[in-house]
Amino acid sequence: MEHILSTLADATALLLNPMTLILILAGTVFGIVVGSLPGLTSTMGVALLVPVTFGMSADKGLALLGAIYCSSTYAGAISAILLNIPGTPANCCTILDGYPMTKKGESGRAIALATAASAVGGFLSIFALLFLAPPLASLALEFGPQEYFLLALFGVSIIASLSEKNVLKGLFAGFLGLFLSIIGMHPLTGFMRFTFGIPELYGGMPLVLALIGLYSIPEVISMLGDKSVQGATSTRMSGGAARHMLEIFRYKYLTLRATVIGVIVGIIPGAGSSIASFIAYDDARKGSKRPEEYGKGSPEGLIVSETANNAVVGGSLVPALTLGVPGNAVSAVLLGGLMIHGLKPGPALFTENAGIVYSFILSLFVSNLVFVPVGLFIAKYCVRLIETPPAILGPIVIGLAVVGSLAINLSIPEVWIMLAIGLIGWLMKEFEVPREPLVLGLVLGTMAEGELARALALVHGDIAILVLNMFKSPICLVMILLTAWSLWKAFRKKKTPKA
Amino acid sequence: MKYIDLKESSFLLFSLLFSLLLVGVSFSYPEDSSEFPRFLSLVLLGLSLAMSVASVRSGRLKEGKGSSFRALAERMKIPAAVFLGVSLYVASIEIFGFYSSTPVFMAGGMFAAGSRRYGTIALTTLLFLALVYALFSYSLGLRLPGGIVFE
Repeated sequence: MEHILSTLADATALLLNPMTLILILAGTVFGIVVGSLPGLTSTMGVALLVPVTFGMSADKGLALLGAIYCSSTYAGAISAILLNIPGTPANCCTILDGYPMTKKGESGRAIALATAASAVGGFLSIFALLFLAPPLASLALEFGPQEYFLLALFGVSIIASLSEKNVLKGLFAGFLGLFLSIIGMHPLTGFMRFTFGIPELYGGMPLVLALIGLYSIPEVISMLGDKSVQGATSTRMSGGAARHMLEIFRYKYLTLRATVIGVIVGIIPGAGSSIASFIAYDDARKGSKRPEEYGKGSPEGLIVSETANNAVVGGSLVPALTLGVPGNAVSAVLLGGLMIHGLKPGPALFTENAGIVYSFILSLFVSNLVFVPVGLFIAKYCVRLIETPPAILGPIVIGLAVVGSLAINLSIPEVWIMLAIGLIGWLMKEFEVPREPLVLGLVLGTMAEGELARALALVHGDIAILVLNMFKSPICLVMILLTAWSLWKAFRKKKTPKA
Repeated sequence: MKYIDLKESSFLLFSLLFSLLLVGVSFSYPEDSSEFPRFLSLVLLGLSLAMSVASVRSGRLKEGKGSSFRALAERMKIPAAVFLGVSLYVASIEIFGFYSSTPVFMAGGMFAAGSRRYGTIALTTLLFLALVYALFSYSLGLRLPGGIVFE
């Protein structure tokens, strides 16, 4: 006990260095700018600043990178809420209720709720990291190929329940997303599929490009075509932000549940923030007394998606720090940053470099507090975006979409790919096919096929043995039950006519 | 007189043809590399057929909303203009570079979209270029395409 207290005291002393606090603030501002711009991701933001930390001490460098991670995951909600364009893949679910709130003139309230939810989810997940890392890490080790495949299948079942208006169209979009995800190399044989000689597709369909194309182009077309959008009313945030943020306490159990889901999904390597927010959203909707409000500007839907995606921050660092297995792409880059500073992830990290590691974890607490005022300050000016005439805003959004697509690999063909996806997105909007299931399918597809191929390889292609093994695994049984329940609820809701 | 809903029937026809194309291409690949694509393409085909049956049974095909060719052509003007404009923009980036093409696109796009506030157009274009330069080129060190002008 004494040892822990003295370690925490050392860590606090490192954290309270003025330079460290300035770096946390700088990282937060940078993270918010990166996260709110479609095309720039948390991974990119952290990766770009890793070299900047070379000349810094380990505690300062990690504090900077951690601040970017926390704030960029939150900041994608700003463009999701105001423009219906997710700033990062983690915020895809946020648009379901965030943008409808903006259309109702509640953009200020939506941003305040998203900020509070992100801070709470992130804060609680860091507690999990601090106190529950070793037992939670063992959960990550239990996930093998068949567990991952069933997780992907469970994600696909959520697609059905997301598409309340037309389950068939939603499933079509979801399976189309799964199809887009398998473009490129087969995970085991290396055979190229559906690339049609385009080198940029050899590595698969880039998720960020798909997000930019699916949401920015159709939104610009809507903006320019829909006269009712012009002169949309905005809400002033001054004086109201604190009041709206305190609303989150009305949804404390929902927030707690979303945090648990986010932490658990974050622990599973490769699962990611977008999966966590969709699972939490679906879970909240199924248990809600007012499920019909979801997708139409429900504060509950907004809160759970933002809580879950930020709760992934702490969860993803659990296997990363304790086992050296990153929970997602951003934590993989953070691990790189860790190793550059001479720290070796694993059980020994918490003993040999306890001061630095605990200082890093404590800095994440501070980051989750700092992005609240900074985010609200920046968002106060971003809210004015929706007052901008569409004739001015449209070309700006397209410009950002193009430069965001270029920023990934500086490749012009990728911009054309983004435009092609934009055409698909516009067609989907015209034909009233929901786009969120496609995004979910795109996220899940790589995992689904890859893990299925690996699972089959382990049993020499014998499907009967694979199925038998699934029923022997407690995690697989839980996934199967959750999937079956999710599908049953989705189709039962369709058959039961609403009063 | 009831019209066939052009939008709904176009979507169903498109999804059916698209799924058939995917089935054809998936089955042309070696079996060990295309189990999942074959499965997905068959599911997509099944879903297309199910949607068609559901639309016919529910009468959605005969609702007649947005059913005239003229109405559809009218709706296509803005999307066509946007896609054409962006395509020309991207093509010009390849030739003339990002910083040469963007002011033309931004100013031209705002003008074409109906803005006649030339001061606002100029200021917005300049601010956008400044933001992109500051964030992408200066801070992140990204060398955006220079084209024949800046290369």
